[in-house]
Amino acid sequence: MKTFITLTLLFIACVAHAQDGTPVGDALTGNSKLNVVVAVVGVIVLGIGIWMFAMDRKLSRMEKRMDK
Amino acid sequence: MKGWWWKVLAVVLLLIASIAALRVPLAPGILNVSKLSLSPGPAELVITGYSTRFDDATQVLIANGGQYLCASRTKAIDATHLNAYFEVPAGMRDDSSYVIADGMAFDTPLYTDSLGSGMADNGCAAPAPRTKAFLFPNLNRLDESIRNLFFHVPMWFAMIALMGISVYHSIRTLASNSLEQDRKAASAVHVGLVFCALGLVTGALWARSTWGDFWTSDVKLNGAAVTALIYLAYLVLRGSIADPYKRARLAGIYNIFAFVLLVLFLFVVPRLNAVDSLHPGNGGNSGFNDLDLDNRLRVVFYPAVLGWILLGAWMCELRDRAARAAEHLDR
Repeated sequence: MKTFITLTLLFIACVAHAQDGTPVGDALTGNSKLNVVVAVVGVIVLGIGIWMFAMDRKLSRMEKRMDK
Repeated sequence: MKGWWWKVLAVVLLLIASIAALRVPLAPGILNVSKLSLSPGPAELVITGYSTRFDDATQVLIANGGQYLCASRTKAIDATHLNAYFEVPAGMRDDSSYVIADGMAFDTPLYTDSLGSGMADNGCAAPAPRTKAFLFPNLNRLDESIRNLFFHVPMWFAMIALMGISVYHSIRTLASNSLEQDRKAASAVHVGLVFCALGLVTGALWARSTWGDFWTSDVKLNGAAVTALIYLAYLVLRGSIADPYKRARLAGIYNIFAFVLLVLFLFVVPRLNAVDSLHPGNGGNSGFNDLDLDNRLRVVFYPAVLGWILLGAWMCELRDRAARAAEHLDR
């Protein structure tokens, strides 16, 4: 749930900035469109990474409770 | 290694599929021809290709109404640019002429003047078909972004597989009143929503480059967004009930309805004849099935889908184990 909200907020931030004519907007419509593939792979790696961090925090909190 | 083999398989499949997805070259194609029309007399065309290997011996011809006109001379500027010189005769049959270089046709025809009953026999034969190598199809507007097929689409396959796992556990919850099954169902929905979010964001990026906007009011897109909201509501519902047995039963019943709605919103509604959709595979559009090079896409696509589904199942298992440990601590 938290991961979903984080990703959605990130996405909204991207949309807010990437309007036509700005560098990010142009990069996604570049000639060979390899940039889109890079962006898509980047988003997936980032998303799975955020999930890993969320999981890590969950386990850390549990470990702390175990130690008490 | 007992019980580990499928996790190893997930990593191996993802590695192989991702390397192939990024490394297999695109089939060569023609991006642009410098002229929009042809009229009798000498004509010089500059042909721009993509991942082509043009040289001075490259065969260039014009196809018109089943007849062919060979270039009188070709001169390669570099591997992707070529000058072709033609002596265009009067009396061509058709007002659309197609430029063919190295066996590849440019999809936009050149408007042709001074029509007649056909060219005199000039000894120019039909081009030999190209030999097929293992290459991805090169489509206008899609270009290199066709590689997203191996990243964006498996996100949705993984999400649907996880929601399927979830509804399976929900049915078992209702059958057995088991809290463990309810926890497993919730874990699958959590991870499924991560893949749903990734599918929405990657889809929006791809849409920006192909359709020109991050979001269009398309049935497939809105259906996916509504599905995401339905599953977020599942988590809200589950979180709002204190009594664990009541929670398990209500969440289980809701989840069955949610899965039925997922199938409706993602598969049934976008395929109705009455609605129009930009998204491939919907509203009368083809998916990638009828491309002549489809099998080359499939060879990479199916391993990628299986790899992402297995990774999703693995993430779901980790989450469920963490939730089980947390329950144990709470006791």
